[in-house]
Amino acid sequence: MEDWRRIDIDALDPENNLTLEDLIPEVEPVSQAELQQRVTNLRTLMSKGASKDAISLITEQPPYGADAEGKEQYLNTVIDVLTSTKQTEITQIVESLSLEQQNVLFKFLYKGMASQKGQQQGGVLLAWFEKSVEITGLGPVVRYLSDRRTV
Amino acid sequence: MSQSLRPYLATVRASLQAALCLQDFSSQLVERHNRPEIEAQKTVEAILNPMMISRNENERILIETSVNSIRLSLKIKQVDDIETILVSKFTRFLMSRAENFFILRRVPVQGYDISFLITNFNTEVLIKEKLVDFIIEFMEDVDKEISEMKLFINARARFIAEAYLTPFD
Repeated sequence: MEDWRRIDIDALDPENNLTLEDLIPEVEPVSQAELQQRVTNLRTLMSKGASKDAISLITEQPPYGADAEGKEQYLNTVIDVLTSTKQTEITQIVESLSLEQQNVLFKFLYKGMASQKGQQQGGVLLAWFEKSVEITGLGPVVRYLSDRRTV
Repeated sequence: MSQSLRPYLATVRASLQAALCLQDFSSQLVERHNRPEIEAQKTVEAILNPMMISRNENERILIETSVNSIRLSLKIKQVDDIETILVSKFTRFLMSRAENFFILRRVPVQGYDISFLITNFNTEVLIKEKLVDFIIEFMEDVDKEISEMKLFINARARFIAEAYLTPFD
């Protein structure tokens, strides 16, 4: 038998070799066609002026499983929806969302602020954030920080 | 306070309050070491999602959070060359005195003008609310300071030009 005293047992412990992929929980994949369908739905809702329905649709089924390009495209539509919503309606919309939906909304807000398109619309997203956080408190912010599923 | 500044600062305040929830965390890799995980970047499970808050394309703040430290980087508004020079001089002045400043990072993160590093040891000694207030106040003041300095430079340039050119009047 080989010299077992020299085996590096730390290297055999799976806890020591965690990668970023291991930390992301299993999510259902979202196909490109499905995402396209959702974008079309959102656009129709937006043109009808039904921002409340659009927001609840956005936060109902976040595209966790989509690829980076699909997410980017979806985010652009979400930013369009957010900017087209009237400032006075924000409070009412956020109040109508469930806890889970509020979490998703915050994920979109943060992702939006980090994107090029969102930065051009900075004021709108900041207004959304300010009004939402007054209602929800810091809970969704903390849950955004620790959730590895990204929109 | 201007219309767009208030939501910006409110957002930064909320995000900071959520992020500044730090605890002692020894290094998982080296025994008897205690490093700010956000700087070490070696333990993926200790690092949380970064938050970027932007007011517009030129003005944003990046808050990177980990279990025992946060790093926040500020991009100060620079619309012309004078402001770029002023900002770089101003931040360099502060950062070269980082030792007396506890939370200031000596070098800014790439793409930003000034960075702060707050560890759990800082939050144990300093009051969290005051820390947040300080950051917010800094963000307000730095803009004011830069625009004041710019005005001052312009005024001085005008005065000097006048003084030099009087003999030819």
